[in-house]
Amino acid sequence: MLSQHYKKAVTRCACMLFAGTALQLFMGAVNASLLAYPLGIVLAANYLYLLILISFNKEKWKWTTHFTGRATYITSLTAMLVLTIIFGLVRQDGAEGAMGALGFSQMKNSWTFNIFLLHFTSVIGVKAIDDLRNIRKQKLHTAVMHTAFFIILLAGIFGSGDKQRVTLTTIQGEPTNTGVAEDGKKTELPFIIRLKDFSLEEYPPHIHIYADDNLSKEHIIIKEKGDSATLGKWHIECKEYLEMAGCKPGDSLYRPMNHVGATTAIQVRATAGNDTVEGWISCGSHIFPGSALPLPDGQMLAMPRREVKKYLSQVEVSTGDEIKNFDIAVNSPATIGAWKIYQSGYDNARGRWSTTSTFECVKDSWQPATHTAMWLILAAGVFALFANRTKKKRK
Amino acid sequence: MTMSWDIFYIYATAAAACWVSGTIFAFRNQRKGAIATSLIGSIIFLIFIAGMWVSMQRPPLRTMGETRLWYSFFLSLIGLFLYIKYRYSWMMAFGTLMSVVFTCINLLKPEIHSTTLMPALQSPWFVPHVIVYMFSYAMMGAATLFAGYLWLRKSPTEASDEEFGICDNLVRIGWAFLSLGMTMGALWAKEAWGDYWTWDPKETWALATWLSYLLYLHLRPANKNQNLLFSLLIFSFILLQMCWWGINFLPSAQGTSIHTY
Ligand code: HEM
Repeated sequence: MLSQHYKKAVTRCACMLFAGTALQLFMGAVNASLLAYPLGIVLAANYLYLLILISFNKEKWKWTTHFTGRATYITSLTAMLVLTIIFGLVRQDGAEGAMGALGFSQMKNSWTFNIFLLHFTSVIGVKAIDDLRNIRKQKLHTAVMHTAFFIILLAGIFGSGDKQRVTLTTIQGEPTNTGVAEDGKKTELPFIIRLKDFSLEEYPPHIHIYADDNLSKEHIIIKEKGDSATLGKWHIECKEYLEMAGCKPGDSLYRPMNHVGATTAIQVRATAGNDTVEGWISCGSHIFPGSALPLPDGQMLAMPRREVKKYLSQVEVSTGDEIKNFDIAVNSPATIGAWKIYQSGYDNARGRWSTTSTFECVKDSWQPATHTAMWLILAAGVFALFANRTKKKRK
Repeated sequence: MTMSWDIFYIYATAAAACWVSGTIFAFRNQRKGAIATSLIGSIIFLIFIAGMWVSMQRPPLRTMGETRLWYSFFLSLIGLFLYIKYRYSWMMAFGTLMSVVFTCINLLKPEIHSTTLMPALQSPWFVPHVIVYMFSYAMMGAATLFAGYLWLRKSPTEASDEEFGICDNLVRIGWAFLSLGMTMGALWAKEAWGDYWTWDPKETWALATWLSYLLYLHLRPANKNQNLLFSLLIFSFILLQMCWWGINFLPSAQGTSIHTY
């Protein structure tokens, strides 16, 4: 049997579900950009103040039981779990139909989800403030978990309107400060980026068997002249390896070439039993055609475009007062104030010869708060492991 | 000799033989023999993993098959650790059983492995993120088996406080690791793409898994309802499977996840 507390908590969830559905039907999806600066931060401050008031006035204010107590947080947690599972089960493509009407096909912008999330955040917020007020009596890692998680949710909700993401493609040597925002609008950035140089490193070539319009999964790797390996029934030997090569139109012979557009070409000898085939294989580039080596059985030896290992843009960023140089690569963005510049792409057709580089510039003013909270979680997570152990020893 | 999947069966058989004999020792109450033999099995397994790391020139953490290696390895260690700590032989048996099952899957379903690692994966977060998750999955596997055993065993007794305590500890440790893994993933995503969280299907299911175990942890202090708690643990583990590999087959996630194996 459900206790009185649980009945109330479940009823509250039903009301939130009803309200969320009604809002979704009448107003459409939630628009996060409404929370842009300064509204977001002002609301966040007031909200935090309200939660502190709730924490301090629990005895006086009867209605605050909506945000405290076992039944409340168990129910809230369960509701978040159920919504998250629906989130995972329904394709997030914004499709219409029943799921669309409820907002579930675009869950992160749905009223129901956001109302429940806000309630969940309030519950954990009050708990975090309670924990901090009674920090002596509280298990430290539990208090830290509650607080850090609350900060993350707070920054995530009220900071969502301040997030800006601008995609910007630079051409080598030409300074630019204009990119395209997520909504497709041209956006000017508070800094100018100039691409000084773009470089790209590739993995050694892979040789596959090409048959029936399919590349075999099995492959060999050729790193230099003299390498040999077995692929299917073929023994393959590399007679010549050219990192930078080209060939004349109509020709099947590759020659060393130190020029824009140069491609990788290898000359191989393939033997199987009495069959021997010799010739060039190349992945080609935007200038030179690729070439596969036909085998007597109708199959071919082919080299797909080499996989990319690393790519890096050397850029100069000027903000008006100062000029800074950065090497930007995937997983190593540059930081300019509240902005971060991420390497996102290049001219795929030209590959290593690309003279353009694409960046994503992201502004996230709330990042320091979120970042700190995440490191707190890491610390609390590690601490929790030891805390559990010491507790048992004492017993 | 360079390590490769072609010779995995040698290491797998040797390790499995050690784990199984360790378990037999455990049931015969030969504690030292059990611990030593089982540990040797895990070390043999670790040598294979380390060898793969060297020969592939990248951490073996990218494909399903590679993550299953770590899963087997951690399960064997967890089974051993639980046996050392709680002296239940069947805990080692569980660890052995699960490790062997996952090893067999790797033997039966060999995958072609490439040595390349796309730029986004080249991050200091890669190794800790995945290893922490694999350890947590193994811990939760142990918790699930234990809960299932307590729940379904023949004797009609309710789980004792001590048994519940062991279960709670497994979930606590597993959950702490889930939190670590998730947070590292978020910090990494920020570094790689500029967002901590993008509701990618993998992330959504990871959150569902994490919430589900969190619910268990919050229910427990005032609750000893076996049916509720143990079914919640088993349900949580189903969510975990969804996050680990289920999304590869889930229609709603097709073509939308950047976390593809
Ligand atoms: C819905 C909001 C939440 C509320 C009201 C809440 C409340 C509580 C309460 C009352 C406890 C019992 C222990 C104590 O008070 O010292 C607890 C324990 C705990 N909570 Fe929460 N919690 C919430 C969400 C979370 C979240 C999101 C996390 C994760 C970041 C979390 C992590 C923990 C942990 C690790 C424990 C200790 C569990 C244990 O060791 O058994 N809680 N929480």
